[in-house]
Amino acid sequence: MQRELVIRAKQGDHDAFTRLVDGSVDRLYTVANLILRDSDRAQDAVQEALVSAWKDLAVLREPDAWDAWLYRLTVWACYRHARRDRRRAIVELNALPDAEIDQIADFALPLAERDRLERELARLPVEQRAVIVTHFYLGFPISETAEILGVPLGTTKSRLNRGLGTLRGAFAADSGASPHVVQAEAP
Amino acid sequence: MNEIRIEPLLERLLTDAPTQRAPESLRADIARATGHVRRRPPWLAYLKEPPMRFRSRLVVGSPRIRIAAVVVAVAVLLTLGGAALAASSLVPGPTSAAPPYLTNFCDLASLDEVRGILGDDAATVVHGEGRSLHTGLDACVWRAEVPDERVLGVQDWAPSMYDMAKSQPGAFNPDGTLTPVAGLGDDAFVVTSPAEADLYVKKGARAAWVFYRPSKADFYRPGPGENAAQLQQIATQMGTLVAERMSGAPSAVGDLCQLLTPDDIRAALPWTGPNDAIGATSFATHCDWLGLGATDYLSVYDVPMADFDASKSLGGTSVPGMGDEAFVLTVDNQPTLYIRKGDRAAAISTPHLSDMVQEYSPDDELKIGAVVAERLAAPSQPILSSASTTP
Repeated sequence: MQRELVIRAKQGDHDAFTRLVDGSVDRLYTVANLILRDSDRAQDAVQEALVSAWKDLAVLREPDAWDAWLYRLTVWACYRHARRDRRRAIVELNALPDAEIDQIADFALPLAERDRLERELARLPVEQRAVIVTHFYLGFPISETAEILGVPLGTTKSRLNRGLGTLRGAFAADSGASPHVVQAEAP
Repeated sequence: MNEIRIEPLLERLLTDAPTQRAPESLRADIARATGHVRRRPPWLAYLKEPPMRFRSRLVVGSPRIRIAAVVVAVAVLLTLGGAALAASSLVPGPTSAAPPYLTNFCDLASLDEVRGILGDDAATVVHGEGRSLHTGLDACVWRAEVPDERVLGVQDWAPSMYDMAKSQPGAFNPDGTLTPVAGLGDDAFVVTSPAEADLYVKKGARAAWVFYRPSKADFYRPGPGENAAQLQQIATQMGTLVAERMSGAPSAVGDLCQLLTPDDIRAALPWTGPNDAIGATSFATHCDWLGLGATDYLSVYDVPMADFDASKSLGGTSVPGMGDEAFVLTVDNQPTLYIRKGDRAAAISTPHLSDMVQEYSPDDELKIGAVVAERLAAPSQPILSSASTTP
């Protein structure tokens, strides 16, 4: 069904394209949100990606690659938005004190880990976050993640390793720090 | 905590992440935007959209079409710069049947001949040497603006690309039909689609590409009364003139592609692919290098001193310490670095298209320019100091 819609959209059928958008936009929006951590910018990135898809649909040779191509367009749109804002935005991240995490009851620990992981994930460079989201959230193997991102396999692996290393290091840090505010570059 | 395995946590965090419902306003905005935006013509779409492989298959775009699309884009932009230079004043017709190297490309047809080919003796026709972008040293483009914009051009073409275009005409014009043309040069054919016509001719060691693009307000659509047969006729008439007048002699400046190695390029520019992914195509007046990345594209031109001086007279920013003289001339946000060493000059261009994923900075051109400046031959010698040339 999707394949047929892609073929019709390639031929200029805007209704078919709209139906394709309906089937994809939620997932693309989630991906963009995970990468950009900002719903407004995620909306802009998704809109930009889908407008590009409509304008350049002639170059899609394999209708079955529609989803992979949309992911690429969305990730690249996220890059553009992140780079656009990188220089001007400094955000404050309110970090939970490690001591506070330690005091949370056992049953709540996964929630604490989740919260902390989300915060640490948000602090990674956007390129590393894009690899992690494409690999872990979308579930693509590393080789296909590299193809979607349009970077060599080695670069993809090194971004993933660096990102995981940073997260691992953050989790391994000593506990007991006093409450603090971390200044970080916006993605 | 040092033994923590972060991967399972990430998997749990992200795979458990619920798919978020996109706001209705976003859906409406997308529907509205795509409903009103014009789709790009295929050649421009191929230019904008880098090829993508997925599961070892080419699923988006085409590296080969992209080369052609870049050439087409350059040619179109040349018309704009050419028109600005010409400032609507008509340039005198041809004075000789000189070889179609460098700016002599514009001598391949007179304005009256172009008007005759377009079937409108009263048409306003301007032609430019296209100094606005990528130097315009390898092409001439004529543009008729009344009653509708129409573009007719001829461009230096690599013999290897001639063979490729002939064996895979769809790679350059996806909707085109190939028709052999007898009696032009050593070999010729025309590829015609409902919206455009391209004629390729090979003669001796050279090839040329003649293109005709009718352009209405809606990008690249035939004007009223122009069908595919008429498009083909216009391209063929122009091709006949070009084939008669072009030189088949080898490039006078040797193989410019020997000027830089893939290692040189990767050391100076942020190209991402391996060396063996960098391809070079040798033309009469320049070399194009193409890599895997979205903006991995580099052109180095041989520049006659007259053109160097003419470009300098348009302005530009001086670059001290490079060759005997160097400057960057920026037109339409596209910088070109010109370098002179004795009486030998070169021009260097990399893409600076604003919506590409990765853009080059002016420094990138300077880095590659430093390498080129070092290797430019002594005055009055072939452009390559060490490579053999075939004058």
